[in-house]
Amino acid sequence: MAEKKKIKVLIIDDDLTLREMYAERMMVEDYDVHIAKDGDEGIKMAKEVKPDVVLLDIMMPGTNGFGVLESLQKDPTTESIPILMLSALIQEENKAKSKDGGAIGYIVKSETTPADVIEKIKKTLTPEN
Amino acid sequence: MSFYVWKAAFKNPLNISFGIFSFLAGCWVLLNYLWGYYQTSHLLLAFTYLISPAMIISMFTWVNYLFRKNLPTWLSLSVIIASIINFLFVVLEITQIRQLISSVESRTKFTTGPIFSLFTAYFFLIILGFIFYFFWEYKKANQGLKKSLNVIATGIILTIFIASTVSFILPAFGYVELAIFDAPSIIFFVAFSAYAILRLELFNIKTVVIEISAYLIMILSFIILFVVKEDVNLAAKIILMALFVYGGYTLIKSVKTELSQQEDLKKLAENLQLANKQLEEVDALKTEFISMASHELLTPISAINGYLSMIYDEKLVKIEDERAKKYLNQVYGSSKRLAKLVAALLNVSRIEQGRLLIEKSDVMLNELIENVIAELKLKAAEKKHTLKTNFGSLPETQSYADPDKIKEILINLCGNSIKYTPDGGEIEVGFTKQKTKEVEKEHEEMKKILIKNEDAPDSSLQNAIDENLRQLVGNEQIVIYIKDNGLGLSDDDIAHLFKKFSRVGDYTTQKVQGTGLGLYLSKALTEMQHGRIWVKSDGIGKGSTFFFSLPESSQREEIKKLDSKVKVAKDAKPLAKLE
Repeated sequence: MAEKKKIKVLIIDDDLTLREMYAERMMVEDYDVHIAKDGDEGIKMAKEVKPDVVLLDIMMPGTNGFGVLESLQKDPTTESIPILMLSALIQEENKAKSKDGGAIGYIVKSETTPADVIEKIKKTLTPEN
Repeated sequence: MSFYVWKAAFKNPLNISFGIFSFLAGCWVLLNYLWGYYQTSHLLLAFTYLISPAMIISMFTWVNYLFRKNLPTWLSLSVIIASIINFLFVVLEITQIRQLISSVESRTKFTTGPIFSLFTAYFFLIILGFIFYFFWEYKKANQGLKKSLNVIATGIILTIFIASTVSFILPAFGYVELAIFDAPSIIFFVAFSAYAILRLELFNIKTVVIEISAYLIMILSFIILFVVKEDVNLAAKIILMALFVYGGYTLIKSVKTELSQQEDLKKLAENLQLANKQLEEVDALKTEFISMASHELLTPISAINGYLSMIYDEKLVKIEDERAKKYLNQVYGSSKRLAKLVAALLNVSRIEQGRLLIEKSDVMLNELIENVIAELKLKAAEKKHTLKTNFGSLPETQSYADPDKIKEILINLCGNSIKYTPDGGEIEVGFTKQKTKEVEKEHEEMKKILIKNEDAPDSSLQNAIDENLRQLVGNEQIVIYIKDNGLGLSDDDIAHLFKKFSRVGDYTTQKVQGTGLGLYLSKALTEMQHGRIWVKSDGIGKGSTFFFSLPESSQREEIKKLDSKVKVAKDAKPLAKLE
């Protein structure tokens, strides 16, 4: 990244405490953080904000994480945005389902600290040669 | 009898039609008998034949209701036609009865009139039609109905047998005296059918035969009373009848008691089954609840741990106050413990629901144990324990099992030794090989301790783990041991040790904190891998040694064969870890 541009992150999560926690931690990294509190709002914001990375929860009211994933992957304006699933669900099947849906990573909330999440985002955004 | 059947279910068309039938049959038999006895009364004969069409209608009707709920048109039509023909015969009979039977000398010796052969043929045709109809439907009937039909069929066969014997076979040999019993033999058909209708669900052909024969003998001996003319004979017959009645009554009573006891037992068994099912449902609900609750707990735990790690691990905020630091430290420790408990609960619910994923491969035990020991070194060092391995003369040993699960068992057992051994203890981890029989024996010893302490084994685990997984394979087992010189265990401790939420000693005063699920999980994980777990201690203060066995990797194919018989849940998951 040659120009000094802030990394834009969109967090889509219905749990107030958790999304604030991740947002808080990202502020420290000087990220440009956007927050959506459910799936439908998340899809709308992804199109408006054009984030560098999306952190996506699965269990949400209305359109759930898999629905958001599908909709963002279908839309040509958002299909290139890397999506990291960030969920409390630890089932392998959810990981597999996310991978099939096009998510590039799966983070289990209870198994990771906010620092781990930052690490994942950095890794995702590092251009591979 | 007819009224009794009717009374049993007076709105049921089957019972109504059968009631009418048995009443008519009774009249028919009585008139026939009286006619046979008095021989010359044409009026009685006329009445006998007058009843028969109605009897035929009701006979077809109740048998039909036995098979289906509605009367089909073809059946009702043909029955009505048959009855009209029958009635025509009777009309002819009344106006000119001599045309049917011109002169009667005795029951079997009479000169027939011009239409008698026609009437006989017609009568047999009706009976044949009925028998054909019955057995045709019999073939199509289901298992439950067949049982009752068998009883009716027995009645039909008995009736045919007796009727043909007394009116064809015996007369051929010259015995004509019994011929008057040809029509009464229909009583067998009626009686067996009545029984079949009344006690549809209680069938034992022997008791049916006993009961009906007893009744019939009683009735027969009663009828004989009216026939006898001499006084001496009458007195003897009365005594005989009294004996019959008493004997029959006792017999029927005992059969009835037996039957009602059987019925009660059946009901009891059914109730028990129901209660058992409900209990299973409650158990499943409980496991489901734990699974849900654990999941819901994970979200707030993630938040607590996340923020605390930002304070502690990353030091993103400065905390000046030393006491605030101390308090937060306590919060952090408690939160980690809570996370562990939730993970353990999740694992218990997964095992009990049969949803724990097991992935077996060849495992190098030496390497795996060394790795676990290396992980635990820090914890052991905190309490100044020496933690060492001892592989004896078995340097390279392979098992066919799930390495993740072995690791979990080792961490649990070693973790316990580290926790419960006073500072500066010695803990040794190693393995040996033992004969399968010996392993089984050691495990049985544990069970004996359990029974001696009047404690029942945990049934939820027994139910959750498939027998195929529990089965020991091969002649020898690899036995891994964890030996410490710590607190030791009493027999009472050992009895409770592997149960859910069990803790050694009084947990309210316990300094060491645990979930009480570690050993329960270890037992489950061992038994899911064709192994056994047990413990030995020389008593309080003398240290204890935990053992768990694993199969040798040479048994790979046998294990695969056994494991393939176990149904794996679609949504099986690995162990939850919240370290």
